[in-house]
Amino acid sequence: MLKAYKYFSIFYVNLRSKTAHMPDVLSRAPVMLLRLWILERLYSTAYLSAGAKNFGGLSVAQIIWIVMIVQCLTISTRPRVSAIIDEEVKSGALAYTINRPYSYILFHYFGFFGRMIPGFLTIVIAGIVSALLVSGAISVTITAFFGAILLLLGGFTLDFFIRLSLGLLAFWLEDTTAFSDLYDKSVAIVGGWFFPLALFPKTVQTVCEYLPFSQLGYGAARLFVNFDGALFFRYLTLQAAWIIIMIVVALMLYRKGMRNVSIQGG
Amino acid sequence: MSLFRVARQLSVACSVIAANLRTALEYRVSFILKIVSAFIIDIGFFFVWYIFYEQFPVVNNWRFSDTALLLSVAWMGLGLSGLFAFGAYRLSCNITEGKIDSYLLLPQPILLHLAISQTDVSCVGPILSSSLMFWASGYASWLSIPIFIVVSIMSALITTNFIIITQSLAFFIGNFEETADVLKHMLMFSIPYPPTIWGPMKFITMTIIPSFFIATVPMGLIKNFDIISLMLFIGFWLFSTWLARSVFYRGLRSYESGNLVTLKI
Repeated sequence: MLKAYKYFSIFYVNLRSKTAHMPDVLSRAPVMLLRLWILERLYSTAYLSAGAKNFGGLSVAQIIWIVMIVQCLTISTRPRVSAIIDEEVKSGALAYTINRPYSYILFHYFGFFGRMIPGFLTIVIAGIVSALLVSGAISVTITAFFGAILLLLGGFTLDFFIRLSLGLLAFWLEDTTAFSDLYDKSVAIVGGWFFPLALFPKTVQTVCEYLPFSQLGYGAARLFVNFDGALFFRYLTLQAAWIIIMIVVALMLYRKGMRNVSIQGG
Repeated sequence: MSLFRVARQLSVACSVIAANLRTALEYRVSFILKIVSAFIIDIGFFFVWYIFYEQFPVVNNWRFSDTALLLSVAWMGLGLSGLFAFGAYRLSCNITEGKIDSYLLLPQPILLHLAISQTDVSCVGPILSSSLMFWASGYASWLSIPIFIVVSIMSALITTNFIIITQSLAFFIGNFEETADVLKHMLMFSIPYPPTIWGPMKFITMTIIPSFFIATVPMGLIKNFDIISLMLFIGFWLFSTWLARSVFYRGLRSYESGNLVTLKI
């Protein structure tokens, strides 16, 4: 019970701290409005040129809502866990945190959720308003709503463990920003950040679905706008598999990295 | 300004940039990783646009070859700007933290020295990928290559001016780093789309977020060279240079020194 309270306190402290920096998150809202507007213009013109109302089973409004949800996820996970851990490892601050009476990984996990929740709730409200202004409302079922929430929670967990692993690479590399950038941009390119996977050719779509980048926010967003039971279980299985893989990778890197710390004397 | 003085400043700038690159090469693995990852990202991004135009071959008379040419010029400009003038991108941070003091004592122009004081080596990636994009666009020829080089350099100068203007606002508005970063991302996001989709909102890309002058005009010059567009391009470059200098030096008057002790060699 005491253990749970300890991690709840970490969560709460980070939540309060993030609440104090809401203007930072809100400053991203006009950018989102502009992005959604540009994308709406692009897809409307493209659909008009192709003489289609639906493409890959998606209307223009559904694409805009998908992009909005994926962008909300990427905005709310700032500051990046990888950058925090990279800095801790390089500055030596890690030597102090690993001696404290808590799990280093769980400390960051609960801190991540504490920072993410107020940021996500704020930006998602701004995102919904932007999407309504740009493309109008779409119909969403209750099943789609709760299914998307479940996949989003999994997506945040997956994002945390991938970034944790990237940050822990700082034990061996002098700078991990190249990997973080590669990860961020991969999410943008094949994670539905501006181009939904449903518009990709079938083969590319299948390959991208098996990658972790589409299991962060795209899966949830895709089901939110157009729920499909079979697709939901497919995405849930893929996401769970990637979460397990990334937990194992992060634990391995952490244990190996800790051995380096004791060799160097912290 | 005498020609001798210009040559001397250029020589100093080249020495500083060369020193920056040597410093970056100190961390070889990181140096290579940054360039390779930036290159892979750009090619991946380019591939997504290829897929988009496979699904929608013509968007308002705009084809894949047009986007390829647009991206090649813009990415080359952004790459050159980040590689040679990354200090401009860190201006608001240096202003907020009072780190400009040491530059005030230098005999060279402060703005120039601040801009070239840092190098982002990952920008070599966009420079390499933009060359490939230019080739893939189908517009590469012996005649268009020199035009591509010249307009890309001018695009880089306009990009740097835009960054200096937005970053210098930190002199007037406290804690401006986040907003300056947002404006930079707005610029980068507005570039790859067909200019024909903007409609009446095109004025945004000609004023607040000048992607029209960074990408569309230079791209048009490569496709169909005409003297009026060239004059417009040069005119906007001169105007943005004047504006960047004015905003920076006006702001510098209200700069409050920090108490940090730093050593510059």
